[in-house]
Amino acid sequence: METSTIPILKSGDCLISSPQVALHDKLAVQFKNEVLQQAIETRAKGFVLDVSAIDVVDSFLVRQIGEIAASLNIMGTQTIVVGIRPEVAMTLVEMGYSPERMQTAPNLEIGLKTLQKTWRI
Amino acid sequence: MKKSAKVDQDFARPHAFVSVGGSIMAKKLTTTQLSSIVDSVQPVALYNDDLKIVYCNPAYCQLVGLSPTEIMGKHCYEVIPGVSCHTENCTSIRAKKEGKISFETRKHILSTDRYIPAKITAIPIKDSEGNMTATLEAITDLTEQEAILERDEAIRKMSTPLVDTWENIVLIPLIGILDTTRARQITESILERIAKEKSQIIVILSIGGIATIDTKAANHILKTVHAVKLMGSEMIITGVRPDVAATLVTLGIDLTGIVTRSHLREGLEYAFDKLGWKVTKNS
Amino acid sequence: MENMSLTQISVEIVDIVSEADIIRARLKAKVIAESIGFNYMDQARIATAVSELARNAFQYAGRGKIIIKSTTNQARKGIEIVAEDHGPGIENLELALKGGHSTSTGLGMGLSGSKRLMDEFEIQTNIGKGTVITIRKWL
Repeated sequence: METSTIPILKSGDCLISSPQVALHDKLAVQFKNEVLQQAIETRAKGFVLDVSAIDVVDSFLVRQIGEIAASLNIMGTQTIVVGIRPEVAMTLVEMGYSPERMQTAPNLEIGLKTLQKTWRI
Repeated sequence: MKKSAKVDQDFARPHAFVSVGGSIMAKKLTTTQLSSIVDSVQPVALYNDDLKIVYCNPAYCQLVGLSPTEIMGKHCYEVIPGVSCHTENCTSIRAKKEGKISFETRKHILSTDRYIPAKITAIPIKDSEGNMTATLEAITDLTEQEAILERDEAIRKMSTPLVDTWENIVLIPLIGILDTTRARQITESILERIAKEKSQIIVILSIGGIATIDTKAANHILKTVHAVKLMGSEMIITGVRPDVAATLVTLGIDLTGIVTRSHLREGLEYAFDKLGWKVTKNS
Repeated sequence: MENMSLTQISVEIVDIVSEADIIRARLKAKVIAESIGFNYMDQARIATAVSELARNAFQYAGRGKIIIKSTTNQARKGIEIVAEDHGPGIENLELALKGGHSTSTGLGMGLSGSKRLMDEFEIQTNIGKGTVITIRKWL
């Protein structure tokens, strides 16, 4: 298996990834495929996407993240996005995105806890 | 071509400044016409092509602290030196060069014994051939304005207190007027605070003490609620008075996903409940 | 004593020929925004708007140009960005500008999004010839 340019780690039933570089187009598609691949292979119940290193989120990236979450959902994996920066949060809201659709948490730790709580019900 | 200035020494009489055959002449006009310049509280002066002061009103004399006779014939940079003097930034030079009204704000000029922030407006005056030979400068002392701005800023800073009440519950009691600038500052304070926190917090924005909110500010606050949600925390609004509620509905503002309560107490109840706290009384 | 000097005009031109250029353009915009004096919130707004415009030019025209410069309007300082391309132009401008919410894909979201983030938004588009979009934000 080729090494991913963006590391995807495993913690219990969850996959965690914290992209440190700008997810431009080809890289974003590659990342998405790897996440989906890993999710099937590990039968992950959850995916924590840590975006705290991302300083600009445009509509393209939002769409990519949305697609990852939707695809994973079909496979039975829950996604939570953590670490959205204040300026990113404000920009997204001002552009017109409603946060209702996406699960979020302040950081990785809480993100994991939240996911674990969800399927323990 | 000789450019001479003929000005009446008596500053009390209003005059018009017309350019006749290359020279600037003072021509007497009706009292009403230029009395606005003479009687104006705003310092106004006329400089010729060499930047010599050809006329100035009493307010100008007061600004520079010299009598009319002392001022006459002197250059503007001699009586009110400033940072832009002798450079291409000089308002009068720019006005003449560009052929249009030019102005500069926050230029510091020396007035009697101190430097003051000032706005300078220079209007170029053409002669009969269309050359810009003179400029009319009006000076606005901005000292008071700046003091007011500073004081407003200080008040604003004091007025967005983030009060730590219970664990992970932050209260923001607002009073006064909520305009867009303040709304922006509140947003930045809140979001920065949330970014620092390691846990989910509930922000209670109490607007009971707000007298007036403008629509833009209201929309901005609502956007902030969503932004807080994106960051993984929550913000609720308390102190919503009936008239404010009615206005929001009338304006058709979308309040989906916004939690509001009429009183702070209910807001706290909501927060405690969300965080898993129960308040019991010792009987 | 404050020195009122002539505004330093910084101009940066970024040719968008690859995806990496989109990121370059928004980084440059951020740097210039900071030098003008915009705070981090506004820098993010500006960078995001530039990202949208650059991506649109790249996606729909194959290539484009982003011109970023500081600007003044009387006493106010601000930033101006022009995004131009020689692409197919935008067919239904009104629809594109209305955008939509998270469900819409493609041109709409980016365009309307960047309009909301900035103070001024001007667009000229000619079918078959190209599009020029000018956006401005003031301090």
